[in-house]
Amino acid sequence: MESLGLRVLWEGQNFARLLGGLWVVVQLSVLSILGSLVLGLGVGLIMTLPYKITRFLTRVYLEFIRIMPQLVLLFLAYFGLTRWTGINLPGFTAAVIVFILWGGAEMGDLVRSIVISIPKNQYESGAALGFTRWQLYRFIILPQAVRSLIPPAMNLASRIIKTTSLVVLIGVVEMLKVGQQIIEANRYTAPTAALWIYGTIFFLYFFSCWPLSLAAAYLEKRWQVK
Amino acid sequence: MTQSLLKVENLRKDFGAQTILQDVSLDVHQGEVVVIVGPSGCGKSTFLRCLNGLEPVTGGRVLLDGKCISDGSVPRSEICQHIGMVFQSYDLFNHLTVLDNIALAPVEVQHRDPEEVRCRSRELLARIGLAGKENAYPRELSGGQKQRIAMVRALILNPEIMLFDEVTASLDPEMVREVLDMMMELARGGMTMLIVTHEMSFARAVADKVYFFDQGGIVESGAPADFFEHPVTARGQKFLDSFIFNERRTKERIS
Repeated sequence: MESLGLRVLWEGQNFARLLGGLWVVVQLSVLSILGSLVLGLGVGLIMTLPYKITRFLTRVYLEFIRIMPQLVLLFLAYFGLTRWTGINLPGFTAAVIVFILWGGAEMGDLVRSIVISIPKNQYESGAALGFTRWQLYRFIILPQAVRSLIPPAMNLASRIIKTTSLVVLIGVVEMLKVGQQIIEANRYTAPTAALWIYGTIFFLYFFSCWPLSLAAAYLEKRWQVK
Repeated sequence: MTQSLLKVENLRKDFGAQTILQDVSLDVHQGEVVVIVGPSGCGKSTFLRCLNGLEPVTGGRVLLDGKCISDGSVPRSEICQHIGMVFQSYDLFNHLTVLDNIALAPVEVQHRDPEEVRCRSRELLARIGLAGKENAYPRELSGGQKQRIAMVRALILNPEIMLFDEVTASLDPEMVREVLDMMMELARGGMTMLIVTHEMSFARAVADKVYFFDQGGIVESGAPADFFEHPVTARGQKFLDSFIFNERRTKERIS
């Protein structure tokens, strides 16, 4: 029986289809993570500005995104947007937008907390050397912030990768959906296929997240400064 | 007397409703070493920070070489290249090596040739006995070494005036000495300096003029020998007394 279940994996295009699903996950994740990094850096720095209006706006943004389950955000962007405005985004695009907005908010809050935790003296001694505000951030604050940012940012990145499995609910066919299709198609001939297919998916997810952990560990070690 | 290099006229500084400095005026001439003493919270540090634009002034003027620098017309980054400053907590940048700490500002702020700057940095490091530490990180250095490197980092910009804000206050006694020696040498070399310190014997030795601050203003000023021997004001006398440990006086005070 087990061998029958395993056989399903190699039947026809099944494994290639799973890899195709993985490719969707990778594209979605890479775009979302890169977008989140860029947006989060900007949002985080804006959050540290001493203006009431920017603080208020970024706060509203962060809280809104935080309160909403990611699934609700996906539905809002995919179904809601169409109903209200008539704009019909493809599922993949809607997903990327949602994940960037979500990741950007979380990343922004990480950046904010780390930037404000850098001692005030670092800003002052930099200012006294004639650095402009922008140069201070570029040469002194951000390089130090990035070092502390690596572990929580990697954590966020792997959360984004895992959360991409929700996109099936707005019609994007990714690895998990492909797996389900294969299992359904073989339900009567190979009832144990589920174990093998999901097991394979587990390893494929693992090998997408693992390099991130390795890279994080490497960078943390290399940049161990304090 | 020649024209003063730095002139402060009726400086006032408020934080909200609280007045930190009121009506402070003084002149500093080229090559002069001015020491500012006074109790904690009297506004000495704020005063220094107003001079190089780290704090905007509320009223009055600061003139460098006859030019007003406190009205916002000169950007802080410009002022700081003329008026260097060293702080109490020797804030080297933790993620950079000693050499990069020193070379960053001249290269990025003053757009000087990186090779020339590195050469000059090595030369200055060698002069303070820290040759070979170029590639060390701040965490590998002692407090005194860090503070002396912070001084080099400020000096390499070729400022006309140097401000020192209690630079020995967080150092071990032995390291205090090496930092004070370096400042003394700098003073002998003709650098114009404003020094806030609690090291009274050093103040006396290095100063051309002493200002005694209390409650946000200058209470008295004079030559170091006069101030330290015969302070004119009772407040000044009381302040100086607090540095002398005298058993009889302590007993009087306690009883």
